[in-house]
Amino acid sequence: MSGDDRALVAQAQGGDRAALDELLRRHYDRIYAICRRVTRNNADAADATQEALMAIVRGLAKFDNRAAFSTWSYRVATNACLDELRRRSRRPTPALVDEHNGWAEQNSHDRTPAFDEQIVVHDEVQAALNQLPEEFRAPVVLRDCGGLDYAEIAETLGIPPGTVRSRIARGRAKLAEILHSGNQPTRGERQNNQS
Amino acid sequence: MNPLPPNADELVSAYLDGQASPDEVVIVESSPKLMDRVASMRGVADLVSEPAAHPAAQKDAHISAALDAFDALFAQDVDQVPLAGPSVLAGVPTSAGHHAAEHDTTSPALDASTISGVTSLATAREQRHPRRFNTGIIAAAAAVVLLFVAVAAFGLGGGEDSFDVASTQSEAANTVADAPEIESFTDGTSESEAMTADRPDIGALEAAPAPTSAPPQAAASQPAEEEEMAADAASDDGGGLDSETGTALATESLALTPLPLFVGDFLDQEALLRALEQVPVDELAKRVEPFEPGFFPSCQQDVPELAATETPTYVGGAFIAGTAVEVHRIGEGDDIVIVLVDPTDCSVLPATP
Repeated sequence: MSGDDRALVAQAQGGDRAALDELLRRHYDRIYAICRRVTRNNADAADATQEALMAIVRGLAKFDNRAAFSTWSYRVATNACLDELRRRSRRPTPALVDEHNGWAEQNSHDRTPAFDEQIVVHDEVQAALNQLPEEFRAPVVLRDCGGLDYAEIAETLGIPPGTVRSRIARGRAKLAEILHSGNQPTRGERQNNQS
Repeated sequence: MNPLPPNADELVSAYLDGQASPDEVVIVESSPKLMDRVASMRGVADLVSEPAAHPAAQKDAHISAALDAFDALFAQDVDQVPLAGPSVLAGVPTSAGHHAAEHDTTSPALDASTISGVTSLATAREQRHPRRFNTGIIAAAAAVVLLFVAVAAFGLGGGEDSFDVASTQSEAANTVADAPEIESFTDGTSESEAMTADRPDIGALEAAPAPTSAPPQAAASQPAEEEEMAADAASDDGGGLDSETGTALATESLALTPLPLFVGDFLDQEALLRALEQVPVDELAKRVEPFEPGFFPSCQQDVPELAATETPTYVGGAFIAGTAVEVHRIGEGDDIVIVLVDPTDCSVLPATP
């Protein structure tokens, strides 16, 4: 994957539109997931994702492959999310439940049973994530969703790696407490139940 | 049965991420309770890592807009062509498009005096370290003195001695010429080193070591203010990191555009501004160069004085007494103006007396 990315990056840097298309499609889901987890609502996540893609396009010419493209792009996305959060702090935040209803109505033509199922599962996880303070949520999301290591998260968020470690631990412990108290099954448990 | 250690969650979490030390791995793996906790946390991590659902139409629209932007950038000089915000983002409801449409940027004449809460670097430098002599005059005088020394040495000895003196003369001239600015940024640090570096040290900006190779003649001709600056830097509590770490971050920041530079943590606003004073003007300019015209990260569009600037102003982030601030730069050359902004509400920090 990483090697393929490298080739696509090189082609895109040379002006290959199709390569960039492939590159963005390959990483879009993860970028959106990070934005969705960090910003906590679909509208802000969509804005942040769009900004992240724009920033990636603008920064691609100077990207030198010293980091994996995925790592770099997730960090760009995180910065876009943090910018979005700053903007959001100055305007009302739509209620999560209403927002999800709106989402479902607005996109009803796109929905499939699988999509519905995903929404339910993610509502549960997102609801649990939403209960975490931002300082815990962002490191957990960057680690589990973005796959960044502690040093990368520390650099992205501007906090020491030791703080990253403790915040991820506390965030995960709190998530486990919330999800288990609500009897939310983990993915493994769900798979076992389905089988 | 052994009770769980007080930092059990941290041990387990680090173990899960492969970030535990060998000793910690032994502790976790030797405890059934901790291994149960590992399983529980792994389940949570798996849930968080699942991709969030989104409608396919949104993905197509976003990527299409990004590709349009790519076309616009690639069709012309990437470094010179501003993005056409609203047209590029047409059909996709983004705040970027909103901002771009909202701010028809013009570039009025820069006047620091009209902006509250900003600090002119040139003024600050003058106030803090008034230049007693013109730098050029100092350099010329030092060169003349050293020329005499070199001639005298050549006449008396020659051979190796003459080479040494000539080298000394060259170093001295360079030292004097470079005296007002501290070149603490260099390239050559790998990204992996930068990423694994611990918390960035404001030493990158505040460590302003006088060149050790300066000969006595040159050292004598430098204003005593350099020592004062070094003492000031040493007294700032936020310091302590070596300049090498800061260099790595600075280099990486440029390479990984458009990520901002993390400036550091400072006791107060004055300490931050003092550190910024020591950053060469060219370096400050480089911080904002990675941001393409038309791309305005952070609070630029929310501060009228910054929004009026056509080009990005965001240099990077910093902390003052643990509180995050955005560092913006406007102006050119000796008219650089630093604006500190509270990122939570995009208000400009009032200048301290």
